[in-house]
Amino acid sequence: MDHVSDDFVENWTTQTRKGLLELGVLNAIRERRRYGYEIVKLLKAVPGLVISEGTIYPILGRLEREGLTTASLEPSPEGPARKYYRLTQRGTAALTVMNERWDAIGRGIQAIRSEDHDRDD
Amino acid sequence: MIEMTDHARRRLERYLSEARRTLRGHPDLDGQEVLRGLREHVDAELGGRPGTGEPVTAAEMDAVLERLGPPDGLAGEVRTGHAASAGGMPGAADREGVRGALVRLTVAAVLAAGTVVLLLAPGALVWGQAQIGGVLDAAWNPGGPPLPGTRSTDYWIRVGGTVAAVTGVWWAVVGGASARWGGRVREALAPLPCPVRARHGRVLAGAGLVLAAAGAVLLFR
Repeated sequence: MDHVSDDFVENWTTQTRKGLLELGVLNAIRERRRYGYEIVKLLKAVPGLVISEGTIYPILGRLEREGLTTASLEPSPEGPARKYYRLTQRGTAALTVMNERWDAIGRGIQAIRSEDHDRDD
Repeated sequence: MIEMTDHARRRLERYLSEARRTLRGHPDLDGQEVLRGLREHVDAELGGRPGTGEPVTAAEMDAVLERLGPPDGLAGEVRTGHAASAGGMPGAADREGVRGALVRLTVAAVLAAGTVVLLLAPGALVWGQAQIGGVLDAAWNPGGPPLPGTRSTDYWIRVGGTVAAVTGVWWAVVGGASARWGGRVREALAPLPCPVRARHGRVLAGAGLVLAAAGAVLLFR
């Protein structure tokens, strides 16, 4: 990949990742509350999604401030208290729509790719 | 608390200090909360390492901090602004911002006024009753000496003790309820900011208990 397109792809990846990280965080606590470290490790397992683990904490704060999540400090048997995050009603409603849109976009892009692929054949 | 060498502690402190400085430049982020999260992360990461009996070395700390990423890049993945203000016309975004600020200001003013009234109401009631008692005393007994006990120092100490005890118990109840159910209030108010946190409720409850105890001492001295 030449230098120009390399920059272009990097910029595209960064912009896409910002939105996807929020989607990933919200989905991580969809079924049950989790604390920050758990969420980071869960997202880290998705290839290419988390570059630096520390960047998740500002996002967690941002989502809480937006009213999509709520958090509570709870004692941990292994050390200092942990901050557990869970979805609010508003967060659950937002996540449902976000997942639907994400699925629709994915299907749409895949359909376009398949169409081009069929034409090539 | 995880044990660490002096070198490791200094590296962590330097990292958190740089992170604090970086986050100060992002007024839409709660820097203290982010730092708390980072600290929790470091504790969780190092708490789970093999051979936890030994203090954390500088090398182990470096590895954790490297995975966290450079402090000046912490806010790099946060999207800026709401969708409405990010993509719309600049004027529309400004108007949206002004309207949001006005709504926040109004809610904050109502909350602050309500809180002051709520906290001071019991004391005002008891104090008011004492004042009315004094007025009635003067009306019933014009020109004469005060009724036995009503104007004595002991009388006013008892009034003060009652005010302190009732107000203190009330603060303890309100503070305890805030600490226990404050999260639901914040959730209901969202996305409006609610600066009251559980720790504020605990502080209020503690202050209430101290005040109530002081009132009891005055009453039963």
